[in-house]
Amino acid sequence: MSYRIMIVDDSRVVYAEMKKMLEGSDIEIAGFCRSGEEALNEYENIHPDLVTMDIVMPGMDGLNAAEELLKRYPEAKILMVSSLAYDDMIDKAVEIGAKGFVFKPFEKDALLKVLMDELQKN
Amino acid sequence: VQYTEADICGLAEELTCRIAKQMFGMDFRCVSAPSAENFQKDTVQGFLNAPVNLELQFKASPQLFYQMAKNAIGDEPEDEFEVQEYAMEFFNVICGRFVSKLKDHCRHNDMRFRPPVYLKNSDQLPDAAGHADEVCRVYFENADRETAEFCWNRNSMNKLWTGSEE
Repeated sequence: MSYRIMIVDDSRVVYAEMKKMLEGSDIEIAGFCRSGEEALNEYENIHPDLVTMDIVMPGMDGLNAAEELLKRYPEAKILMVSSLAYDDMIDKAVEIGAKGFVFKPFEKDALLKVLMDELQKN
Repeated sequence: VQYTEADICGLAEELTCRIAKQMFGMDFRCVSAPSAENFQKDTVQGFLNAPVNLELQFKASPQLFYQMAKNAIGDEPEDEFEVQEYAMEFFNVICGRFVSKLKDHCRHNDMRFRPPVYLKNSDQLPDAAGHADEVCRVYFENADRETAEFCWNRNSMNKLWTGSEE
Protein backbone atom coordinates (compact mmCIF):
# COMPACT_ATOMS: atom_id res chain seq x y z
CA MET A 1 0.00 0.00 0.00
CA SER A 2 1.31 3.44 -0.82
CA TYR A 3 0.75 6.62 1.14
CA ARG A 4 0.59 10.28 0.12
CA ILE A 5 2.11 13.04 2.20
CA MET A 6 2.11 16.81 1.96
CA ILE A 7 5.24 18.71 2.99
CA VAL A 8 4.84 22.21 4.42
CA ASP A 9 8.19 23.99 4.66
CA ASP A 10 9.52 27.32 3.44
CA SER A 11 12.75 25.60 2.38
CA ARG A 12 12.98 23.54 -0.80
CA VAL A 13 15.99 21.86 0.82
CA VAL A 14 13.60 19.95 3.06
CA TYR A 15 11.56 18.87 0.05
CA ALA A 16 14.72 17.72 -1.77
CA GLU A 17 16.03 15.84 1.28
CA MET A 18 12.73 14.10 1.93
CA LYS A 19 12.34 13.21 -1.74
CA LYS A 20 15.76 11.58 -1.71
CA MET A 21 15.13 9.71 1.53
CA LEU A 22 11.67 8.47 0.51
CA GLU A 23 12.82 7.06 -2.82
CA GLY A 24 11.93 3.39 -3.04
CA SER A 25 9.59 3.59 -0.05
CA ASP A 26 5.80 3.35 -0.03
CA ILE A 27 5.49 7.07 0.59
CA GLU A 28 4.80 9.54 -2.21
CA ILE A 29 5.12 13.30 -1.88
CA ALA A 30 1.75 14.48 -3.14
CA GLY A 31 2.19 18.15 -2.35
CA PHE A 32 4.73 20.74 -1.28
CA CYS A 33 3.58 24.02 0.27
CA ARG A 34 6.01 26.77 1.19
CA SER A 35 3.86 28.49 3.83
CA GLY A 36 1.17 27.80 6.39
CA GLU A 37 -1.28 29.86 4.37
CA GLU A 38 -0.60 27.80 1.23
CA ALA A 39 -1.08 24.59 3.22
CA LEU A 40 -4.51 25.72 4.39
CA ASN A 41 -5.51 26.46 0.80
CA GLU A 42 -4.10 23.25 -0.66
CA TYR A 43 -5.03 20.65 1.94
CA GLU A 44 -8.48 19.98 0.56
CA ASN A 45 -7.19 19.59 -3.01
CA ILE A 46 -4.34 17.29 -2.07
CA HIS A 47 -6.08 15.45 0.74
CA PRO A 48 -2.90 13.72 1.93
CA ASP A 49 -2.64 10.82 4.36
CA LEU A 50 -0.24 12.89 6.44
CA VAL A 51 1.20 16.41 6.62
CA THR A 52 4.74 17.26 7.71
CA MET A 53 4.74 20.81 9.02
CA ASP A 54 7.79 23.00 9.61
CA ILE A 55 7.58 25.31 12.62
CA VAL A 56 9.73 28.32 11.74
CA MET A 57 8.26 29.86 8.59
CA PRO A 58 7.63 33.42 7.45
CA GLY A 59 4.05 34.58 7.99
CA MET A 60 1.90 32.03 9.78
CA ASP A 61 4.22 29.70 11.70
CA GLY A 62 3.79 25.94 11.69
CA LEU A 63 2.09 25.68 15.06
CA ASN A 64 -0.58 28.21 14.09
CA ALA A 65 -1.01 26.58 10.68
CA ALA A 66 -1.37 23.13 12.27
CA GLU A 67 -3.91 24.41 14.77
CA GLU A 68 -5.96 26.06 12.02
CA LEU A 69 -5.70 23.02 9.77
CA LEU A 70 -6.98 20.76 12.54
CA LYS A 71 -9.88 23.11 13.24
CA ARG A 72 -10.94 22.86 9.61
CA TYR A 73 -10.02 19.20 9.08
CA PRO A 74 -10.01 17.38 12.44
CA GLU A 75 -9.10 14.13 10.69
CA ALA A 76 -5.80 15.57 9.43
CA LYS A 77 -2.66 13.81 10.62
CA ILE A 78 0.17 16.25 11.22
CA LEU A 79 3.79 15.66 12.19
CA MET A 80 5.74 18.74 13.19
CA VAL A 81 9.20 19.08 11.66
CA SER A 82 11.86 21.25 13.23
CA SER A 83 15.28 21.53 14.77
CA LEU A 84 13.55 23.35 17.63
CA ALA A 85 13.26 20.48 20.06
CA TYR A 86 12.61 21.96 23.48
CA ASP A 87 10.05 20.57 25.87
CA ASP A 88 7.56 23.44 25.68
CA MET A 89 7.51 23.29 21.88
CA ILE A 90 6.83 19.57 21.89
CA ASP A 91 4.13 19.98 24.56
CA LYS A 92 2.48 22.74 22.54
CA ALA A 93 2.53 20.63 19.37
CA VAL A 94 0.88 17.73 21.19
CA GLU A 95 -1.67 20.06 22.81
CA ILE A 96 -2.66 21.37 19.37
CA GLY A 97 -3.20 17.82 18.17
CA ALA A 98 -0.03 17.05 16.20
CA LYS A 99 0.75 13.36 16.13
CA GLY A 100 4.46 13.70 16.68
CA PHE A 101 7.74 15.36 15.90
CA VAL A 102 10.47 14.84 13.32
CA PHE A 103 13.78 16.44 14.22
CA LYS A 104 16.15 18.09 11.77
CA PRO A 105 18.62 17.29 10.41
CA PHE A 106 16.90 14.19 9.05
CA GLU A 107 18.27 10.71 9.40
CA LYS A 108 16.78 8.42 6.79
CA ASP A 109 15.88 5.45 9.00
CA ALA A 110 14.40 7.61 11.75
CA LEU A 111 12.40 9.66 9.25
CA LEU A 112 10.96 6.59 7.55
CA LYS A 113 10.09 5.00 10.86
CA VAL A 114 8.24 8.04 12.22
CA LEU A 115 6.32 8.52 8.97
CA MET A 116 5.41 4.85 8.53
CA ASP A 117 4.44 4.40 12.20
CA GLU A 118 1.95 7.23 11.88
CA LEU A 119 0.70 6.31 8.41
CA GLN A 120 0.04 2.71 9.38
CA LYS A 121 -2.10 3.61 12.41
CA ASN A 122 -5.76 2.77 11.78
CA VAL B 1 24.44 24.19 35.82
CA GLN B 2 25.81 27.63 35.06
CA TYR B 3 26.99 28.04 31.47
CA THR B 4 30.17 30.01 30.87
CA GLU B 5 31.08 31.73 27.62
CA ALA B 6 33.46 28.87 26.91
CA ASP B 7 30.55 26.44 27.23
CA ILE B 8 28.45 28.50 24.80
CA CYS B 9 31.33 28.62 22.27
CA GLY B 10 31.85 24.89 22.74
CA LEU B 11 28.19 24.24 22.02
CA ALA B 12 28.32 26.38 18.86
CA GLU B 13 31.43 24.53 17.72
CA GLU B 14 30.02 21.10 18.43
CA LEU B 15 26.70 21.80 16.68
CA THR B 16 28.31 23.41 13.64
CA CYS B 17 30.79 20.57 13.10
CA ARG B 18 28.23 17.82 13.68
CA ILE B 19 25.53 19.31 11.46
CA ALA B 20 28.01 20.17 8.65
CA LYS B 21 29.08 16.54 8.68
CA GLN B 22 25.52 15.27 8.76
CA MET B 23 24.07 17.56 6.08
CA PHE B 24 27.06 17.98 3.77
CA GLY B 25 29.51 15.23 4.69
CA MET B 26 31.94 18.07 5.33
CA ASP B 27 34.56 17.96 8.06
CA PHE B 28 34.92 21.28 9.83
CA ARG B 29 37.54 21.71 12.51
CA CYS B 30 37.62 24.57 14.97
CA VAL B 31 40.53 27.00 14.71
CA SER B 32 41.49 29.83 17.02
CA ALA B 33 41.96 32.26 14.14
CA PRO B 34 41.19 32.03 10.44
CA SER B 35 44.10 31.36 8.09
CA ALA B 36 42.55 33.87 5.67
CA GLU B 37 40.70 36.93 6.93
CA ASN B 38 40.28 39.08 3.85
CA PHE B 39 38.13 37.00 1.59
CA GLN B 40 34.73 37.72 0.16
CA LYS B 41 32.10 36.61 2.64
CA ASP B 42 28.41 35.95 2.44
CA THR B 43 26.42 35.96 5.65
CA VAL B 44 23.40 34.05 6.86
CA GLN B 45 21.72 36.15 9.51
CA GLY B 46 19.06 35.19 12.03
CA PHE B 47 17.34 36.82 14.98
CA LEU B 48 16.03 35.36 18.18
CA ASN B 49 13.31 37.46 19.77
CA ALA B 50 13.56 36.76 23.48
CA PRO B 51 13.77 38.74 26.73
CA VAL B 52 17.03 40.00 25.21
CA ASN B 53 17.04 40.05 21.42
CA LEU B 54 19.92 38.18 19.88
CA GLU B 55 21.46 38.26 16.42
CA LEU B 56 23.38 35.24 15.15
CA GLN B 57 25.37 34.94 11.94
CA PHE B 58 27.20 32.31 9.94
CA LYS B 59 29.76 33.58 7.43
CA ALA B 60 31.64 31.80 4.68
CA SER B 61 32.85 32.44 1.16
CA PRO B 62 30.33 31.93 -1.67
CA GLN B 63 32.59 29.10 -2.87
CA LEU B 64 32.30 27.28 0.43
CA PHE B 65 28.52 27.70 0.52
CA TYR B 66 28.42 26.38 -3.05
CA GLN B 67 30.45 23.32 -2.09
CA MET B 68 28.16 22.61 0.86
CA ALA B 69 25.09 22.67 -1.39
CA LYS B 70 26.82 20.57 -4.02
CA ASN B 71 27.74 17.94 -1.43
CA ALA B 72 24.16 17.76 -0.19
CA ILE B 73 22.60 17.54 -3.64
CA GLY B 74 25.25 15.22 -5.09
CA ASP B 75 25.28 17.37 -8.23
CA GLU B 76 25.79 20.99 -9.28
CA PRO B 77 23.22 23.32 -7.66
CA GLU B 78 20.63 24.67 -10.08
CA ASP B 79 21.30 28.31 -9.29
CA GLU B 80 22.60 30.62 -6.59
CA PHE B 81 19.23 30.59 -4.84
CA GLU B 82 19.49 26.87 -4.28
CA VAL B 83 22.92 27.42 -2.72
CA GLN B 84 21.45 30.10 -0.49
CA GLU B 85 18.61 27.82 0.59
CA TYR B 86 21.05 25.13 1.69
CA ALA B 87 23.06 27.72 3.61
CA MET B 88 19.95 29.02 5.34
CA GLU B 89 18.69 25.53 6.17
CA PHE B 90 22.08 24.65 7.66
CA PHE B 91 21.99 27.79 9.78
CA ASN B 92 18.37 27.15 10.71
CA VAL B 93 19.20 23.67 12.00
CA ILE B 94 22.21 24.86 14.01
CA CYS B 95 20.23 27.71 15.53
CA GLY B 96 17.23 25.49 16.23
CA ARG B 97 19.39 23.12 18.24
CA PHE B 98 21.14 26.00 19.92
CA VAL B 99 17.89 27.72 20.89
CA SER B 100 16.43 24.44 22.14
CA LYS B 101 19.36 23.99 24.50
CA LEU B 102 19.02 27.59 25.65
CA LYS B 103 15.28 27.22 26.17
CA ASP B 104 15.59 24.03 28.19
CA HIS B 105 18.35 25.58 30.30
CA CYS B 106 16.81 28.98 30.98
CA ARG B 107 13.04 28.38 30.66
CA HIS B 108 12.49 31.72 28.91
CA ASN B 109 8.80 31.75 28.06
CA ASP B 110 8.73 34.15 25.21
CA MET B 111 11.20 33.12 22.52
CA ARG B 112 10.75 33.15 18.77
CA PHE B 113 13.42 32.38 16.21
CA ARG B 114 12.76 34.25 12.98
CA PRO B 115 13.49 32.72 9.55
CA PRO B 116 17.07 33.56 8.49
CA VAL B 117 18.10 35.71 5.56
CA TYR B 118 21.08 35.38 3.21
CA LEU B 119 23.19 38.50 2.69
CA LYS B 120 25.52 38.46 -0.31
CA ASN B 121 28.98 39.94 0.04
CA SER B 122 28.27 41.13 3.56
CA ASP B 123 30.80 41.24 6.33
CA GLN B 124 28.72 43.26 8.76
CA LEU B 125 28.81 41.95 12.30
CA PRO B 126 25.88 41.33 14.66
CA ASP B 127 24.50 44.43 16.25
CA ALA B 128 21.83 44.24 18.95
CA ALA B 129 18.97 46.71 18.67
CA GLY B 130 21.20 49.38 17.22
CA HIS B 131 23.80 49.19 19.98
CA ALA B 132 27.33 48.27 19.08
CA ASP B 133 27.83 45.08 21.01
CA GLU B 134 30.93 43.07 21.54
CA VAL B 135 30.91 40.14 19.16
CA CYS B 136 31.85 36.58 20.03
CA ARG B 137 33.28 34.65 17.06
CA VAL B 138 34.14 31.01 16.56
CA TYR B 139 36.08 29.95 13.47
CA PHE B 140 36.13 26.79 11.41
CA GLU B 141 38.13 25.43 8.53
CA ASN B 142 37.32 22.59 6.20
CA ALA B 143 39.82 20.12 4.75
CA ASP B 144 40.70 22.66 2.02
CA ARG B 145 41.38 25.28 4.70
CA GLU B 146 38.41 27.36 3.65
CA THR B 147 37.21 29.45 6.56
CA ALA B 148 33.78 29.85 8.06
CA GLU B 149 32.65 31.75 11.11
CA PHE B 150 29.75 31.65 13.55
CA CYS B 151 29.21 34.81 15.58
CA TRP B 152 26.76 36.55 17.88
CA ASN B 153 26.37 39.45 20.31
CA ARG B 154 28.38 38.46 23.34
CA ASN B 155 26.45 40.49 25.93
CA SER B 156 23.02 39.46 24.68
CA MET B 157 23.97 35.79 24.53
CA ASN B 158 25.50 35.79 28.01
CA LYS B 159 22.47 37.53 29.49
CA LEU B 160 20.14 34.99 27.93
CA TRP B 161 22.11 32.02 29.26
CA THR B 162 22.48 33.41 32.75
CA GLY B 163 18.94 34.80 32.95
CA SER B 164 20.41 38.08 34.12
CA GLU B 165 17.95 40.12 32.06
CA GLU B 166 15.14 39.15 34.43
